[in-house]
Amino acid sequence: MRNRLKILRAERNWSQADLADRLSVSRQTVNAIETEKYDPSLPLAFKIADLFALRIEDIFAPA
Amino acid sequence: MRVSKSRLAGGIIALGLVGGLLGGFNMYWGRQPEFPLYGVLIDLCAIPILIVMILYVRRIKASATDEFSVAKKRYAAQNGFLMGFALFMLSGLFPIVFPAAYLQFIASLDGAHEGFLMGRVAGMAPFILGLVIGQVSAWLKYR
Repeated sequence: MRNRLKILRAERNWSQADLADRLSVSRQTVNAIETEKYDPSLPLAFKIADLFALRIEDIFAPA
Repeated sequence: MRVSKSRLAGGIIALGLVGGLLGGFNMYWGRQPEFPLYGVLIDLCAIPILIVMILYVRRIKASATDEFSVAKKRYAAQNGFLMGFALFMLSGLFPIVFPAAYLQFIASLDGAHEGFLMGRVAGMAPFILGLVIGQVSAWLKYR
């Protein structure tokens, strides 16, 4: 699944660790999602969308 | 992830130490002609502490683990088991493919007991190897 997580994070000048802290996940999780090696669960996707005040489909798109 | 891995490691080590000490002392007391009264009193105090520690470590484990690490572990376990089973099946072909080497190996064993021990090790080895392969494949996939 493609995603805009890296762009959204960069726009806010957050490091992967900052974003991981805000989402209560590990930095490795953020890295794996950004590099599209791992698709987040639905609750985590909602959490990400909530954090960036966007809809899930604005962040994630089918590959 | 609200709790660091080091805190979880500390909790597991402390739990292991307390559990090990309590188990060791109880084994020692159990071998005495009569179980000492102070041992019973120590057990009465220590067992609730141990239970509280177990519950605490379980809680910090849940806080220190996130869905990605669970997914990685699941991937490693699934691959590890499959690889272990495949290697186990392959090792069964050894007497068919190399009958001379197999007979030589059997002849080198010193009796049924050694054969039994060798069988245990040879049966377990593919699964241990499979676990290692599973971990490596998970690391390669998610590095």
